[in-house]
Amino acid sequence: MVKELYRETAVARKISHVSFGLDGPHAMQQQAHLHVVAKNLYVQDSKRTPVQYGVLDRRMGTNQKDAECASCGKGMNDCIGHYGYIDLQLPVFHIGYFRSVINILQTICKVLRLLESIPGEDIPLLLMNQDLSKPSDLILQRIPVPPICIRPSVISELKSGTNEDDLTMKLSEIVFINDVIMKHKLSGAKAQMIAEDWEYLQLHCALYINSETSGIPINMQPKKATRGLVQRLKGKQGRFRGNLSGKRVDFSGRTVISPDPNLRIEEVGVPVHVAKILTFPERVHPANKEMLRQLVCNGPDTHPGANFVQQQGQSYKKFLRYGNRMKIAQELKEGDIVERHLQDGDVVLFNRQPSLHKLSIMSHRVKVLEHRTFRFNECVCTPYNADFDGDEMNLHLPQTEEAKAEALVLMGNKSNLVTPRNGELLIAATQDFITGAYLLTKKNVFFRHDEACQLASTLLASTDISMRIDLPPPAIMKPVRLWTGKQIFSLILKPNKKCKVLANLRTKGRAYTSGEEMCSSDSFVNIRNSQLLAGVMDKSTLGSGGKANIFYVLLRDWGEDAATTAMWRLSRMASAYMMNRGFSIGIGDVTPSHGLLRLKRELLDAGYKKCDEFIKSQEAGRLQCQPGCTDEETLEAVILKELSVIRDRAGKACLQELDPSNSPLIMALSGSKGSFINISQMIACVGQQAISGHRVPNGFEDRALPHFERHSKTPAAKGFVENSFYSGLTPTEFFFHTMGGREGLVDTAVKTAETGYMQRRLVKSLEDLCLHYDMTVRNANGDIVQFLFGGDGLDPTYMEGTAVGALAAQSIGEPGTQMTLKTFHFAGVASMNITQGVPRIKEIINASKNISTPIITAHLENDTDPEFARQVKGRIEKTTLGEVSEFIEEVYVPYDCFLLIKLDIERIRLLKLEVDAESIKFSICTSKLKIKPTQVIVQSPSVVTIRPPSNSKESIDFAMRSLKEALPSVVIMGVPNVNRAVIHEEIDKGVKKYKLLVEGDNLRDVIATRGVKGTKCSSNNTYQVFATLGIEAARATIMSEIKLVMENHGMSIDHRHPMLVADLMTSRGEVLGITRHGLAKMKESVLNLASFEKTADHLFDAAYYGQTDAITGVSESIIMGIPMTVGTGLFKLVHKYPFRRRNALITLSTSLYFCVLLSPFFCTLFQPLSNLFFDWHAEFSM
Amino acid sequence: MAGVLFEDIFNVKDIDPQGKAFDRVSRLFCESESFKMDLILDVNTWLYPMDLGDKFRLVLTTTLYENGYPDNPEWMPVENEPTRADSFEYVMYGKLYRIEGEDNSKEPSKTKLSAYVSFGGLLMRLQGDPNNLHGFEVDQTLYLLMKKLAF
Repeated sequence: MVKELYRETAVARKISHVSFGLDGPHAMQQQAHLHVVAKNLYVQDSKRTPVQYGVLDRRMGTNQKDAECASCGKGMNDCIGHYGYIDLQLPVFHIGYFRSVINILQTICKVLRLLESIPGEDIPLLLMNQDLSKPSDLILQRIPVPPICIRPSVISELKSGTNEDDLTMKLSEIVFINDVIMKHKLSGAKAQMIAEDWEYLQLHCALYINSETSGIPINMQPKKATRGLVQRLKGKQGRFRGNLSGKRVDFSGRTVISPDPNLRIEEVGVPVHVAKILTFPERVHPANKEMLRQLVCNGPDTHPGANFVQQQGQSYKKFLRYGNRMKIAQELKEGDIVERHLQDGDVVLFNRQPSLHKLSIMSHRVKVLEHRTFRFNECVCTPYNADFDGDEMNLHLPQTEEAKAEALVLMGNKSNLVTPRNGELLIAATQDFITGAYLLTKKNVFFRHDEACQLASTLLASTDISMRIDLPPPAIMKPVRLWTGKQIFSLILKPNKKCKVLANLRTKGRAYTSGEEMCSSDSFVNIRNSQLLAGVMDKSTLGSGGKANIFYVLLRDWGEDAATTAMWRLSRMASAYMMNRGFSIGIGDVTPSHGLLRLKRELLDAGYKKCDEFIKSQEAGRLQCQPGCTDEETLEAVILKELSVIRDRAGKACLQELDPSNSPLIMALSGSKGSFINISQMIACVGQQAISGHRVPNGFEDRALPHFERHSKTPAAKGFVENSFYSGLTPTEFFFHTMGGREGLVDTAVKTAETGYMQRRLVKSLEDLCLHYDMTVRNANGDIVQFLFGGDGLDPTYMEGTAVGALAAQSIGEPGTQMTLKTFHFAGVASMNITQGVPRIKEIINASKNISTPIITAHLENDTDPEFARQVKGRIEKTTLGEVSEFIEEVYVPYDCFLLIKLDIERIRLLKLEVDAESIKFSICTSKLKIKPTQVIVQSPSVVTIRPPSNSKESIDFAMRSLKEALPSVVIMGVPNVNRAVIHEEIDKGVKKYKLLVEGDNLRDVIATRGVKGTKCSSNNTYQVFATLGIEAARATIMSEIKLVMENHGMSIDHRHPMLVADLMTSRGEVLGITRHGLAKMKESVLNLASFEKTADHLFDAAYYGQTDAITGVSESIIMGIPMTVGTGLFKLVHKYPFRRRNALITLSTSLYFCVLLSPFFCTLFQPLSNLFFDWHAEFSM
Repeated sequence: MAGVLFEDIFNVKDIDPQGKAFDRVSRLFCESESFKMDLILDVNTWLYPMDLGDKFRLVLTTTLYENGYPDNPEWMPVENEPTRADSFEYVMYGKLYRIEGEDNSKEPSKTKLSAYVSFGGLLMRLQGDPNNLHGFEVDQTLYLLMKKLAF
């Protein structure tokens, strides 16, 4: 049956809201068809008849093909199932409401103990909704028995009998216990026995609802795990996430992908096999009647054919494999529906998992091809993040004209050349196309007339098969006519004089030196009126990322068709040129020359010598420590630096030595694949292996491998690989290399899980934010999150209703997958690391109160004076008594004993500490040592004595000793919760400026410190900023911190995305994390929260409070199967004007007017529509 | 001669001063004898080898027709008519894409004008007295004709 277009007006009943509440025993009985009392499932006969009044009674439906429902008389496919109920002999707690019941009983007066006797007017006091839930219903007196169809019994083929569903078994057990209790009651058994049975009943009722109930005594725990009702709902495979939020679909396909540079950018090659199975229901009208007739004649086995015909007014479809197709074709009438094969030009959605951003699903035009793989132009690899090492992709065929139009306009890959993440090109030349264009446009590439014509003729294909190409006059006319590669390349942009495309671009290339066009490496690109005048094309001018790109210019100035056509021509020409010219890599390309080997040896010797010197000076204690580092750390830092210099120098040397025709070099220079580091690793030196940013740690006793001396710090002993991949690694080097390799693998594995969850949380919380007609960004409830999107209202896609929230979530989540997990970055000073990468992003969006590396940047009132900086540092940094004392000694004199503290006055002066004996006395007395001021005597400015507390319980000796232990750690100066402060020096316009980097959380006290410019303090702890400076400051911090992390990983993100996330997180007046706790405060919808995490908890809560869900958000709409209220679902036809059908033209224009009123975007929907679509539109406006 | 924009005799002063970046193509730095113009020119040295100290006649013209008729915009692969190129050894066709002046208002005599021409990526810069660059226009297509002079 043809899938009906979605029409709001045609819907007879609309779901306005979903309410949750408690079902009382009476309501259960009303819904039920029978009272279940029998514990047995089947009668003992061969036909396996269910027992009457048992849990499998036929009156509750059927799950067998041959049996009919005893209530409605329908078969398995039609009967919707009917409820039953079990009357519990004794009331039991509903395990989901157990806490609520306890809570109520703690709240209400103990006299009115029974829940039933809570007066109606008091129910709202328990936060319950009186109309939907009654407190007494929190206790189960009756439980419903769900229909058979949701707990089918499967007839086992292996053993005799059936496999029953867990629910069925549990219910029959409950009936059994119920029976026992009833019998005991009747027989007047001991109260203890009945209590035992009661407990057992309670247990099974709890397990029926939630089989993972905690707190069951060990002797009563079930033997094997079962699936309770809660287990059916929760989790990834549960009802909510597995069946309601995501569904299996028809009209889809999946197979391996492979590249095809001959396909246009917007095309996808589909195997004939697939095309014959996927069908589109096309309605017959005069324009397509003949075509469809032919298709019907061809039938299901010849490619452009059809599988089914549904005649108008008939409910069944005719299968075209059998029967007289000629006859059916002749009888084809307008209004009939032909399910025709997929054809060239059809719009399909193409997708590769993981679908991290909206560009992971785009629409393509079909090109039906031979063989068995999906094929597309390599330029489209980037948005899908696809390669061809066995990747598979999915294909979906939209089934209505409306869906087709939306897919084409909104999801078309031509319309999505740029990413909303930062507005840069994502679909652009890649790999071979860049190499090919680079080789083609080099200055020394010349073609004879025949060669030039052959290359130019590669553009003649597909729709351009009969295009005219105007070959320009040859650049060299004498002595031989020769065309340059640049002239041929220019044909890609403007193949003939009729072509109107005039692109202009002037930009630096990757290898740019100086002198603009006259650059010695010919790397200043000048394209003037679609003529490449100078410069060699490389990744920066052809590839994705960046805006100084010829395709970006084409897209901006001449539209998506010009850009994609040029891209397609490039892929044809570049691959043709590469195939003709030849491009391969061999052992010769990575063989180092003698000169290079000698140079490398010299570099290594010099570097090792330096390292040895460093090690020796550290052993001798002569090594100058870096600020905030120990000598060990300093040694590591300098050695690491020295070793990285070796590899860099070796790499540079090998670039100079290599021949310009060296293939890896060409790839690195053009930017198509590989980097200079890769080349130098192959030819010269692999370099230092790092494990979490450090040299290889000691896995054995005091050494990394048993091949080296203990405590050895030489480069080789700590993972420096001096060999190249060509020369081969020694066994120890190889082992170190695998260590580094493993870190990478583990990192990738952990990262995918981490970022996946982060993405899910981001999307779930931002999904309903969209741009409204007043240019505000609002959530599904209509709460304003931003007054003007991005602060300037500039919408990246110029559409209204844009789901800017989803875009923001994807734009932050997707780059996360590309980040390396454990990265630290030095905050100016070597010793001060700050967390970066995914862990940091997680901290920010979780709104963690305790972050792993809190840092406060404190500007100083006098930022040019290092002395002043040291003074302020002294005020902030924690200083203990031990650090400023020369010694602390026990003094025993006749009749007295005390502790004597000798202060190191010189040190105090040097450290610029503002303490003296008196202030130290105060610090000691206010510390936790419980020392009274009378015990401390300041003898002189440098001597303080302390008498031990006279306590009869412990000896004086013990008191002396414990006091001596504790005294050195008394804090005499500094801000609490601050570990240390480092003076950061930076040169600004030739002036040295100083600021403090404070490691710690206490922003408030740092701001309040004398000497600190309080107005210019910043912290990276969003919660601290919120607590100290308020919500606006917290918002600004979130934005700047996200930006910082992204920049550190070389990823550019439009500032609007972090802004929206920050605005959402702070929109409630407090910093809410993108976690289930924060989400619960942001969202009101039960279904949304239930489909996120803690499914059962949210549902039980909703029932308790009697909440209603208005179905406004995205998740809720998906669950209910109605269009969501973002994007094209945002607007509705407000007024239905009674047009007459005859004036079709007027109809169209007037209703278009309505649409324009409603949405400027919507009218763009109509542009590509054929007259085919006209019909639909007329109906739409009727 | 009609259509001739510039003509002079040049001496090759330097070849590839920053090292040879491309095989087949070399960059010549030359100076003219009569107008004292500076010339930077990329030449396909496989076809037309040049050495340091070589002296050559260079003509820039808008047409190859002897009679100075405007150039036919459509390029015909086979032409047998006698042309101006017949008396030269090396001929290139390209486009003038930029004229750039170093404005020196204090000493007008020292004002220099540079004309940049791309012959399908082989670049030329002609720099010198603006008076010698009359008739040069941006987006003009022109021919470069060269002939070595024997000593």
